[in-house]
Amino acid sequence: MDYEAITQHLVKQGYQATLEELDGVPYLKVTVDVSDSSVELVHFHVNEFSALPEFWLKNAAVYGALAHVLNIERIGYGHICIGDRDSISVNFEQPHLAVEASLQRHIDQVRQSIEDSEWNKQELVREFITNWNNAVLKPSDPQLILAAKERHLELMHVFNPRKGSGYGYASFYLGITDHVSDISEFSSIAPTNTDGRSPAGEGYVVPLGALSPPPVSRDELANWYISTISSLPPGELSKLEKLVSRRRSNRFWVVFNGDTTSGTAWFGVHLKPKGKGKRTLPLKASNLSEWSIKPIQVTVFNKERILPRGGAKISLSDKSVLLVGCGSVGGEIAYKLAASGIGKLTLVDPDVYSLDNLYRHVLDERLIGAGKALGLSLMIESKHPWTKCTHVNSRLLDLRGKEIRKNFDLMIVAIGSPTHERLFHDFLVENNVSLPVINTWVEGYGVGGHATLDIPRSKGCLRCAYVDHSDLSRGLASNLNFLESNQDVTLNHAGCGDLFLPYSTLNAGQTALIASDLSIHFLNGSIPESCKVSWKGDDTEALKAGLRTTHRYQVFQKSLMRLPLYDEHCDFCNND
Amino acid sequence: MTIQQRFLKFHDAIKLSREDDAYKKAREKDDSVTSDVKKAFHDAGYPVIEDFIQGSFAMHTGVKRKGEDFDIDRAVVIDSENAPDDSVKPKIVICDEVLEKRGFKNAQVKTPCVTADYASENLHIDYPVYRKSGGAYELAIGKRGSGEAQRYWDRADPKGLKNWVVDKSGYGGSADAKVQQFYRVARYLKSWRNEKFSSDICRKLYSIGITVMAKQCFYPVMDDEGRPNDLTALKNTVSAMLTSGYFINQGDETYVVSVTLPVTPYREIFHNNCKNTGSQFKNKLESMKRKLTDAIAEEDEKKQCEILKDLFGDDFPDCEDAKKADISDKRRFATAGAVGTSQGA
Repeated sequence: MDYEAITQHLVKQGYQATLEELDGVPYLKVTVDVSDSSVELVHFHVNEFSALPEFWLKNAAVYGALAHVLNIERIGYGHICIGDRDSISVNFEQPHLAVEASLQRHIDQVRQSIEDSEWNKQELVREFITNWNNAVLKPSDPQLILAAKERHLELMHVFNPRKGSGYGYASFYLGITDHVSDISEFSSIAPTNTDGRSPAGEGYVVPLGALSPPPVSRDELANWYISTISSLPPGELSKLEKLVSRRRSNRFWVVFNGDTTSGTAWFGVHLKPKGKGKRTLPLKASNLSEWSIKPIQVTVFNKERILPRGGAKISLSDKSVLLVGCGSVGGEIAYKLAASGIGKLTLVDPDVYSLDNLYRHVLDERLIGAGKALGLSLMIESKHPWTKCTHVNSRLLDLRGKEIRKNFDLMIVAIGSPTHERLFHDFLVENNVSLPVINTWVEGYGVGGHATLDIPRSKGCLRCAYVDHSDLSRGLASNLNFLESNQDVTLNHAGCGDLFLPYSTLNAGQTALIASDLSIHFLNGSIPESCKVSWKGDDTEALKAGLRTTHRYQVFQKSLMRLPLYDEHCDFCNND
Repeated sequence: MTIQQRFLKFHDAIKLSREDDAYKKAREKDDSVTSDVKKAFHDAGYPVIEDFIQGSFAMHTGVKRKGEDFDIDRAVVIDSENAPDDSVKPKIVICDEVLEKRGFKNAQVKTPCVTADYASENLHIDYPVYRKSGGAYELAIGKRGSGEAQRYWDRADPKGLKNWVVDKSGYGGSADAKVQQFYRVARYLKSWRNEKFSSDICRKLYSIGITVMAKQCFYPVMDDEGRPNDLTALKNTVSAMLTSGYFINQGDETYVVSVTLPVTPYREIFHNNCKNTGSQFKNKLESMKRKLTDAIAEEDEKKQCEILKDLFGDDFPDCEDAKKADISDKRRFATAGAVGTSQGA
């Protein structure tokens, strides 16, 4: 890297830039005037610019706590954060320009933090957890996963990591409060699931409301703790004192939560008496001197935090979905719905999971021999603690009962059986069962997949997707299909009992995506009318197998788009 | 009722096929006569090696005609090695040994075939006789009293013509549905001919000529969902028929129509048409095109229907209030007992 040229360029652009050396380490120094004083920014030489060139703030501690500046005390420099470096595309072919662009960003950042004290304070609070983690935490400090709700002052039971666990939930300390009863019993963090964990004491969850900036160093932690406790509103403080007075222990965990403009921040401390004997949690400076205190990293585990963080919606947690068909498409749908935040899933399938299903099904080999619905229930609940699953060993046609409407917001049928699906649809119509239904299926050879959403009392129904366009009769095959009817599309490896439709897990997944997307948008209230969605895949394999595609396939250009389901020739929709 | 429903109902009314109920007795008669022909040819020393329906039945373009006989074109094929040199001889066997003995009126040996009417069944029957060598067919030409020069076996391709008409290889996806639309368009045109022309002209506008023109000019019309649009397909076909060089200007705005058979022997189909036939055909096609264009542009379904009823006559469904439900149409079930699908999950 030609730092001479870079320096010359910066000077030419009006920067006070010089090349220096510190203990044999060459660096580029740039001096800028900020608030009547000179600030030194330093860039240590590198061989290539694979990211924006970094500048460090010399003597960062002099400026106090600065937002987006992490003071590294042992070297006397502060690391300046100017955003996500990875997402910035750097002109490594013109390094002088890269340095100039980066330098100006660093200068702007430092200048704002130093000159605008109000903004600086807000940013310190907004990035509370980052600043907490950077300023006070060490890698060896305990990491606690906490299943708790926000804004509840309450007792917490803490368990040690499971012995020998190097990763996963089991490798963390686990904190459990009384407000986590909505977690599935099959989840690893379910209150009932503490097998293999030994108790690690008790503690408290303390809501703080609006936060102040975090301590700027680990040494300030004790003072910060006392200051924070004493700043609690009188009512909250007395509640805490009352709660604390009931328990004596030789260790305590205190987890705080507070509001920042970027959400609720969770963090905590672990306290241990310097001497022997059990005591109540210290709340005053005079008591704290007998305790050692260290910070803990807290990962809170409640649906209000975890669901939005993963893109799921809290508003779906009270929705109940009946999913019939837990095959390769249905299995994917179940996962997608749970991951989207659906609170209740009833999974229906009469089949047993077999080794043949392994590669295109979401279930793992441990569940071979189990009912697909049961296996899916277990796996969904294990990964998605706030989705309650019920499994039913049954077929679609066995569900023909009027009471079906009462319990579900949406029904999804993923069985790939046009006969059963039409029979069931007709049952719903004839019995005035007002249940929104999504029917979804994948076609063989990767040509595509489809989903229809039939919303009662809106235009369009499943039978619209079955109108035979050639004679406008009630067709037997869907008019959405991309492969023509009456072709030999199944394969078998072992005779008649082993017939299967060839498609990949990707095809099943794509189909599940359109059905899941339809489900979520409908349950969110953004789809008022019955509609249909298809995805169109490649026809190479189908053509190789000598199969014919439909006109719809050949002209279709609306993959993933929601199209009206209504067909003016559907006699179900036009019999008024 | 939508316009497509009306077209399909119209098609139901005019369609004639071997499977048609109305045609059941004629079909039984045909089977029975064919059986007698086979016996008579066997006795004569040239057994029938093949027989097949040709003409509009085979091409799926047959239409019913009020007050007219049902037509049957039954080709009988004998082996060239056994066939008599005299091409008229087997035709006389059919006429004398089978048809007359069975009570057919007006049984005659005509140049291309043996023809007869079975009055009680409204059946008009044509028996072309072919001899076959390898895959090549030759048609028995000549009638009673024809001189040697008018009696011969002439190269023909009866199956080639049928295959050409029913060919769907160029239609892309949903080819079955598209060729079905072609059959309907051909039937609409033939039904229109029967409605709009005097019997004298009508007789000269051969069905095979209209079918060949339609086939050459037809392009399937479906929307992106695969829904056929017969009105637009018919209009496009008619437009193309008018601009494809079939009508040859004879001066003074008179025309003759000229269409070549698309297979062996590639002869002129309208070999004996005159200016009057050609001009009327062209003028009425022009009128049809205008009316179909008007119908497409018309937003009021009732008025649209009236335009079409004027074109096609009483067989086209009545133009009741468009909003009035047609229960008989609305309870239509699939005609197949089962259909294999590509649906899975």
